[in-house]
Amino acid sequence: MRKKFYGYTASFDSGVPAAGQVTVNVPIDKGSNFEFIKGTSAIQTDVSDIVTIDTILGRQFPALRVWVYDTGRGAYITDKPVSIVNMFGTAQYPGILAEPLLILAGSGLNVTVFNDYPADAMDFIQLTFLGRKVSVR
Amino acid sequence: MYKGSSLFWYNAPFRTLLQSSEQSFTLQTQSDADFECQYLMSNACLSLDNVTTFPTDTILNGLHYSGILLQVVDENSGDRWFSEPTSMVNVCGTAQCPSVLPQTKLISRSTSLHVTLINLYTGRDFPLLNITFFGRKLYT
Repeated sequence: MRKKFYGYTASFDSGVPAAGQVTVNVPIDKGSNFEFIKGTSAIQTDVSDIVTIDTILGRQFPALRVWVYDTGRGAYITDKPVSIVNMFGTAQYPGILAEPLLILAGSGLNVTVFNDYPADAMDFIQLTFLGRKVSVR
Repeated sequence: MYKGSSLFWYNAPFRTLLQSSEQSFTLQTQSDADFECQYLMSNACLSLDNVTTFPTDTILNGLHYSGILLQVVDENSGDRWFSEPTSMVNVCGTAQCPSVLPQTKLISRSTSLHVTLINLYTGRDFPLLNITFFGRKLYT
């Protein structure tokens, strides 16, 4: 069994509008399964400059909700969208899963972010699934 | 099989990463040992002027910025560390709050690591940034 560190990132390059939602697909490499172990998130409320709330350690935007659909198992990994606060942290304070979540080789993660803030668009969001590629050879 | 190990840090420095720009640094691992990376760390300076005049943000807020993206590519194998350039907030810690890799990353001796930073901020330059790889040298 061969295990290699890897990070899959869902990048919302155009952000998520106020009271809107955006979906990004993250394809999983065909050559190896992936064990999702830690979830991290980065958010820019303003891409033009540094905003304090974006940089405070452990800053949270609880009204951003995330729904992840795993095409390999043909199901969402949660029953409904959950607050980003309850699934993703930062590299320094990551959201650590109780055990690795297996994502099959060649599948995909359809990641949807719902922005429940009625007047605050997010300019840029990245959600990163940190873990390891697992292959037999 | 390895005969011994010792802790080691490799550092990739970046000088003046301009707004809306990309910059790369090629890090060469030393020839005497393989390297097992355990932690990934970073810092970013918004100014190198008198520290007493810094805005509090730059001191207290963890020295990590969402709009700085990182990619690492092993030039020998072509192996990328992330599916796409990823925010330093998502992958880099500090010594005080380290980002422990969920699986250590083995880098062969005499390997070139192509480390790239992208500055998404359209109105901010960073005079100094560092990406630090902490782990151990493995001797054969």
